[in-house]
Amino acid sequence: MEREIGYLSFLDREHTIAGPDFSRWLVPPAALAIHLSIGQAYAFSVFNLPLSRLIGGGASAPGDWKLSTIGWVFSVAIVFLGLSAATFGRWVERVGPRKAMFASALCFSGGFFVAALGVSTHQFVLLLLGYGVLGGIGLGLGYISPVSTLIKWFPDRPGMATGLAIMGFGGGAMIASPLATMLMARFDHIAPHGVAPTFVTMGALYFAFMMFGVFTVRVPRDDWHPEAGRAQTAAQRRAENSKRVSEQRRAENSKPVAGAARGREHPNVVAREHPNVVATEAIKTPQFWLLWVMLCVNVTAGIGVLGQASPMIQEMFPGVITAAAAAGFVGLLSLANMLGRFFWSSLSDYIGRRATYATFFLLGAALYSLVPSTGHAGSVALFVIGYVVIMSMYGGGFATIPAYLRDMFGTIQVGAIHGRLLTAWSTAGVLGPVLVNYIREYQINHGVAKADAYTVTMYIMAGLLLIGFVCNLRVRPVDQRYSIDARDPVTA
Amino acid sequence: MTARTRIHLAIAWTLVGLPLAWGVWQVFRKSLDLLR
Repeated sequence: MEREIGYLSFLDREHTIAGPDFSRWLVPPAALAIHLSIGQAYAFSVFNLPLSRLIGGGASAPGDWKLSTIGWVFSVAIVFLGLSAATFGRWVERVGPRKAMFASALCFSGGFFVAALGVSTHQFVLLLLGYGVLGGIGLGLGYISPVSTLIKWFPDRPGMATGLAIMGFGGGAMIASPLATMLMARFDHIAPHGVAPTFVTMGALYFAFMMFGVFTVRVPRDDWHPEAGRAQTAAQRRAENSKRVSEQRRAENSKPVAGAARGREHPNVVAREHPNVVATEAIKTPQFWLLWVMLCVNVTAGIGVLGQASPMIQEMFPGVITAAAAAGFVGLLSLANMLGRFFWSSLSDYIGRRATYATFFLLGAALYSLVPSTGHAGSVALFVIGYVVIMSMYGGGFATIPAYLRDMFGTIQVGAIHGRLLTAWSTAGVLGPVLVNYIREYQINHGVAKADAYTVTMYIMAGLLLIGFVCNLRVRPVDQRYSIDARDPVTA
Repeated sequence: MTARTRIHLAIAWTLVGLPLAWGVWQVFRKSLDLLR
């Protein structure tokens, strides 16, 4: 079925197998092209106000969409991200990264075009179906498509490789937010607030950028591993030299080449260290659900800060922090979120995944409990530094999870398993804001001062992180009976 | 690594690095308000 359209055969997995000259360092930029694009989702809020004033112009008028209604577009997109990642994970593993990235680009850009039609005709259902459903499916496909390929290319540094890609998702919002603002200002005279033409332009731009990723990505040969790649390069160099020296010298040089060939015959050591568990079996293991809870509490706690960052810093430091400075604080948190994805996931390659998550949960719980006190003490610097570290660990939690999954379940269907685990993100995306807003409202209704209400919320977030810490402690290697190696020795 | 691969690598990293650097700069510029 996948190969029935001949002119699209370049998307097939067998047409994406890397040649001998291919550098594995081309795969991270290919993955970044996808993640930087779909990361736009986090900047959707930049459209909220203009979308609520399409009829009224300067202010909302009767018939305009309410902000609470528009808020559903982002929520639906995140829910469909999780659902599509969970549903299409095995398909992505089967067809390879190029076809999955292409499908993601079609859905994500198509979502913008349908949403533009919805804005032009002022039909909310089209906006919701376009950006929320179709775009959300593009987000899910795009998020998981490069993960397993990166892990296969970088068995020696899986944390760093997937961290680089997932860092792009954090960075995407930083590009999309000012880009959308610029485009809306540019197209303001064409359509109300320039929203519809901005959607069309962004859809086209992102499609082109994602195509760069589609055409760049390659999968490694089955027998490829980093040492073999280096040995082959050395062998090629020696072969070139041998043309310029005598027959006897060339014969001497051939000895190490033979050694290198023997090296290539060695099995991939990293792959041997882990069981190979398929997605349907992985969800039957306690390890999968422990990791699910860990991701869920980490995201819930992070959303608790992100969602309240701007009012929190202003109410903690009244008269000191202006609205503009608070916006700067939110920007700084986004930056910490992005850089933390790369830093913590790379560090996990050295200190291990378990130690990395133990740091997130313990240091996180301590900071969530202590940082509000620095606010009460009037120290802006300590307050900002504390939350910068917290947000770096929020991003780090996202970026390190694929490598943790690789350690637990092997590489055979790590993308599909990651897809299923992302339902924890969807759950936290709904649970986090509801929990935070409910606790805060409850506190304020019971006479707690606004600044103190944040403190209680942070204590509850610290408690959630301690649950994550216990789950992390309970993670043990997966029982070999779940591995396909134990079931089918021929496949192994 | 061949010269062609090196050129491909340079183009690929520039293509993703430039927009990312621009986005980071935009955020950093806004964050300076916090210091004022």
